[in-house]
Amino acid sequence: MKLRKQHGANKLKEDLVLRKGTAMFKLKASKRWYKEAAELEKSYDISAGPEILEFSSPSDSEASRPENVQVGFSKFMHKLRISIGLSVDELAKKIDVDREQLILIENKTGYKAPPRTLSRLAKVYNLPTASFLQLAGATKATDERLQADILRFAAESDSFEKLSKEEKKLLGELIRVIRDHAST
Amino acid sequence: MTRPYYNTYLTDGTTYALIEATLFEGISDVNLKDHKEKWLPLLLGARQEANARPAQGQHVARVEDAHWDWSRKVKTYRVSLSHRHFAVECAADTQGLMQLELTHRSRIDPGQHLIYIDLLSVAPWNRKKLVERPRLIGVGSVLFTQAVGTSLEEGFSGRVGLHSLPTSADWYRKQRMQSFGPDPAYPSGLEYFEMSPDEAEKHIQRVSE
Repeated sequence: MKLRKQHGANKLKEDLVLRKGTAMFKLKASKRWYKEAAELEKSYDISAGPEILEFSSPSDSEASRPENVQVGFSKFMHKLRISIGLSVDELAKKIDVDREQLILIENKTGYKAPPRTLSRLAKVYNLPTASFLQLAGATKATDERLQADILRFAAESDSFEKLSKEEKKLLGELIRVIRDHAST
Repeated sequence: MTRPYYNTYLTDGTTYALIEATLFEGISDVNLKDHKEKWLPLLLGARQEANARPAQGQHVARVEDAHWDWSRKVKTYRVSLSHRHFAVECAADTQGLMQLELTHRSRIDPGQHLIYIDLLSVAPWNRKKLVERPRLIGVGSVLFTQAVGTSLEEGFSGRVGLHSLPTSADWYRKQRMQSFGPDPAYPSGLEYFEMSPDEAEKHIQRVSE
């Protein structure tokens, strides 16, 4: 991989990006190819990206996620991060997401995190994505037991920054339930 | 400051004539403004219409990228060494946008780097499912080929990976990408595709023949 010169922070507000030292690939296509490509593409709408998920509409999923479940999820996210000993900044860097999103996930009840961020969180915590997305309200909740378990977690865990022995046990139990849910 | 660019062509959706267009490296504030002021109203309108007709649920998939926040993404990653951005402009409008990630690894050749297409989106007036007659055709082909070329330029041998909805999956198969089937990491059946170095080379050859 070629090294590219990084712009300084003072360039952040500029409306353009220019990567000095990096050649831009310049497509040299024949007119025949353009015509053939258009002939094929006219039958399709082309898109790509992991965020092009067909989630149920936010109103549907939130309606099935009571506010106390949303509170429980935020608390769960906070405790999980503490359990792996990472700061918000460290976790954001590790999974390549915005730190602001992680702060909102942990602190703002009902915050709808982007699907990509949730998928990456599920991956770093080694949790099944489908169950995780349900708890996060990104997909329609289909399992009341999961909701009940996260409520129990929210009610029984306290707000200390360091996990107590009881909290670790509680956290471990909830993780097991979520993993079991995915395998049933 | 000027962005690197080169001239390319798109096809007029009515006359099928080739129209000169420009592919830029970098997404400018003008592109972001186009997305916010020209794309989003159409995308959100189409989504609203689809939601009002739940029986035609497949319409939701047509506008699922209405929530993509290009502005946030571009401003977050425009100085990142791990991302590259491209925009296609034609007729004073932004016709397509793409964000590439350079940190992913290949499934075909484990351990090898590839270019991952994190986001590729085409202006709503160019989508056949949103308008009766797309204004311009070929934006997806031009951007996808740019991703393949960028992979070569980065020394990744043309390897490209991406996730696709079923609606585009056949097109990627026709680009001779290898399918790894629905990715279990995503609940809605997003299919993972990857282009091998051999196929990338053939693709670029076909383009220039």
